[in-house]
Amino acid sequence: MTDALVARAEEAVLQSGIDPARALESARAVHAEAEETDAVEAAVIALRAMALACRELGDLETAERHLRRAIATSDAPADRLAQARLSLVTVRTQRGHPLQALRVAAMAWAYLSPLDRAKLDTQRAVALAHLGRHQEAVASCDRALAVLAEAPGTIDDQRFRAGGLLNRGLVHAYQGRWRQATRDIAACLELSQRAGLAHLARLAAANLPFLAVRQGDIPAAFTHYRACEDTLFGFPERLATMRADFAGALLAAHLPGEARAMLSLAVPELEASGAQVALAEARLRLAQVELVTGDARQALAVARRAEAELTAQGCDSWRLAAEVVLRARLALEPPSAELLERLLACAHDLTSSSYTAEAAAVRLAAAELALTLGDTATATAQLSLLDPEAAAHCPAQEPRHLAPLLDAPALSLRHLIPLASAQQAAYLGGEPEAGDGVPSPVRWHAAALLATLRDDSAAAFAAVHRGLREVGSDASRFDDPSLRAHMARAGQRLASYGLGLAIDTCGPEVVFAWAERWRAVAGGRPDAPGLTAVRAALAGGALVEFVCHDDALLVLVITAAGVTLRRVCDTATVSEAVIRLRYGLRRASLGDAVATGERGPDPVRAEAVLLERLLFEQVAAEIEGRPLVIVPAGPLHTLPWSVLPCLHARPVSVVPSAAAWLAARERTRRAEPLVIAAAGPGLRHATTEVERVLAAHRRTELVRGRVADVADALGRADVLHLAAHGTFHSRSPLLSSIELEDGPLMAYDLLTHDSPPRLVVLSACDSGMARVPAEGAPLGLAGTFLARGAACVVAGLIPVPDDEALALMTLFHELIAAGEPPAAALATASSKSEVPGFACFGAGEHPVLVSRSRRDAKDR
Amino acid sequence: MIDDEYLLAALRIAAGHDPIPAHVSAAARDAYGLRLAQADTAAPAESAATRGTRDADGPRLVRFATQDFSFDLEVTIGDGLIDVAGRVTPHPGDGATVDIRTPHLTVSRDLPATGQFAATGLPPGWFSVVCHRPGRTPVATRWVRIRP
Repeated sequence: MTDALVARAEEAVLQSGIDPARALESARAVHAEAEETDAVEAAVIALRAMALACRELGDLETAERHLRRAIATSDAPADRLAQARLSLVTVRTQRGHPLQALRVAAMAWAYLSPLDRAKLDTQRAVALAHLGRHQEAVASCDRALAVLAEAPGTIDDQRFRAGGLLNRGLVHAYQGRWRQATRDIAACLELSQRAGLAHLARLAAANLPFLAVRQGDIPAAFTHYRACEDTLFGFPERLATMRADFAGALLAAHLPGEARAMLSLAVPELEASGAQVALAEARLRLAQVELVTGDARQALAVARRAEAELTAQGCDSWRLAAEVVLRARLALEPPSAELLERLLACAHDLTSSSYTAEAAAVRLAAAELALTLGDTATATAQLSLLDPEAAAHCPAQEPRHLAPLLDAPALSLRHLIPLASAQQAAYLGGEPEAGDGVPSPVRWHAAALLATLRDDSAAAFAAVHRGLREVGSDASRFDDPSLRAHMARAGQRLASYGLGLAIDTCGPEVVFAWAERWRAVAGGRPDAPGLTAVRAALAGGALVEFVCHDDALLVLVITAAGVTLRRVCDTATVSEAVIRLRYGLRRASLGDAVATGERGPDPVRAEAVLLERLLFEQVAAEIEGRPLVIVPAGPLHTLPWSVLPCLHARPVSVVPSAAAWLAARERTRRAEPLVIAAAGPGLRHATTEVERVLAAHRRTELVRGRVADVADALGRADVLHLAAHGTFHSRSPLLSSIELEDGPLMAYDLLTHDSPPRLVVLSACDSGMARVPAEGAPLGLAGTFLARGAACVVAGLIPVPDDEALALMTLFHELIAAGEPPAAALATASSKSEVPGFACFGAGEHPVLVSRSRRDAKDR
Repeated sequence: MIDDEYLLAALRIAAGHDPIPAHVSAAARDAYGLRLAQADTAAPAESAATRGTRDADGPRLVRFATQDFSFDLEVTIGDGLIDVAGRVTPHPGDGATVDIRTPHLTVSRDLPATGQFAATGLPPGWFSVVCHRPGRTPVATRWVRIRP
């Protein structure tokens, strides 16, 4: 009877890894029987089975209660009690008490068989890793895995072996050894799938999104993530931990919006399941994200909680939470000596915990605050600590691990595995850069401030230039434009300092050079163009480059005659006007009855007139009658320019930078271009549109609106026309897509195409929309096409009514076929069809085709 | 069990054994501070688009209406922060203003002749819009929650 009960209890232990809900049920039944019959051994095993099942189901508190009850059982066999302690090791660790977990492990050790000791070792590793003792953790796993490989191979043996592989993989991941991490976790996945350990397989799979981000493969990461969301359904704590890990990787990849979305799902789930360690770390990340995305109040509240929790757990990272608290206060409160003092103390604290990069960034913030307060002596002292001259004599330090942290670009860059280009791989394989751990933008910012304090503006410019070059060369190692742009953000404050210096002390030519220099860094271009090259290319046109500096919007106009710089107004005013205009356009497009049936002024026209006055009144003479090349900034990236009365029927090309425009002009064209068109599903007029578009041209091909066919056409077409639904993802702009019959064609899919068509026409809603983490690198469908080598992209900026798109595009292609350049063709077609929602991106002033009449003349 | 604990706590507070925790009173005061005396409340109403467009998801449009007044709001989520744009109909006349309120800050805008207004860079979470009409009672939307 007792033996049978023991066997059933052991059965439940084994089942807990496979089907925790059923295991819990049967263990409960065994436990009840064992209690009745005083079968102590069976009761202890059943309690452990119940605990293991609860743990798998995410209920750590109950798991611990069961285990403690098991351990407290008197007269139970010592080895059974030790096994319960073995399980408690993991639970205590997960609940935020790794040191206690190690003590529990030590108590269990003496009573365990060699095989059970190996199993214990796999669990000790987790506690060791939580305490930052990574080498010991790996050694513990190595030892355990050697024993387990020789074990009889019961389901329990296999479970601990797979678990050991998983844990070792995770420790490797903590240390940034992604290749070993992926190898161990893939081995765990394979083993657990083979052994039917579905739950462990899910856990292994759950690490794949994180690892994929760490290896720079964002699309794969989101694919893994979506798969995990399904497979982890019903395991809230696991799902939440996966989300928190994934968010950490996204934050390190400078994708704070994505990270925030993940964390705001994960934190409440972690709270509910009582996973204290994961919760505190997730809260710290959330606080960092809130600060980066601009909600200082929320950042302050979250960081304070994180600080308290991390301090209670004895985690070093409480200092990082303290840093967020101070930065949030800096954003919310007026400058004060008290804040300055706290910042200095925080910098000191961070240095003593070897958070060198964070300490440096805090020191810079302190110096800036000291300058605001007029305390030049403190500022100079702090800046001198960051001075590159002094730094050159310091010995190199070991880089720290896992640093997805604020203002710590060099550090997080080092721990981010990017796409698999040879250059990137070489960079990662290389030695960590020598230095004192001060991130290069911080160091050069300090040098520039020191030079300014000495009234040496030449040296200040040189320092900013040098810093931006270093940020640029770091960022240009990334193939993924979104990673690159976000990485370049590290230099944003430095660039802004240089730009401000130029605005205050120099003429418009120098301001143009600094605006373009920053755009080149973010856009991954080696150099900013000279004014002469731009002027030569402009002919009779004008280049209008907007620049955001602090809260102001400025405009530069370059024509053959000269360069003009004017302050437009504050950015917020323009921002709101653009949003109101877009709102009005959307409502009109949607045919909203109330909005259109109302008396009073036409809202779209009123807002357009207002914006025109704000943006162009001061440079009206300079741009009068000229075709324009516009480089937008800030809120202007989403403005449908042709709505402004003065741009009505005027050719306008929108480009990320003057450099990007010049590059797009270089792209070759062929005498008899191939025009390919495809229609997406679910639209009444798309097929007709495609037929009419093709009828306008000579060499044409119709392809089916499926991803593979369109992808193939991308490599062959000179002109590609897609009439379909479009979606813009503001949070993950490279997930923006064109809807085709069998799925979306995403901006990410374009990254593998090196020679896209010369002209791409996206007859779809919002396909021209972009999110711009850093000026010079608009992220979205149109921006990606341009970055991959298209000369020109015509795309929509607002919801486009199906029938209006048909009318506009028919007219547009007739003009293109007649030899009109795209910008002029779009201007004419928009004005004749009265459809304002499309814009022409890139080198829109160059004809795609040699005109029929000109060609016919040539033939004769 | 959780419910029992709440019940016990509520009973103890009601019986006057325990003082009300300070943060509860503070939260109550904050909530009371957001109350707008004598305002009409506009309830969510249907806002249907009438034309097919070429976007798959459609914008996030909401309408709030009383019998004779309506707010149309559109929310755009950027890099973690939100932008709110909208229009009130009918136009309440010269001197009208619109407040876009979150629990922590209120953004006021004069209402132009178009009846359109916008505010950018608001934190996600709860918000409500109030239109102050000269010579008439203000109208407020219900509080709505926008997730980041």
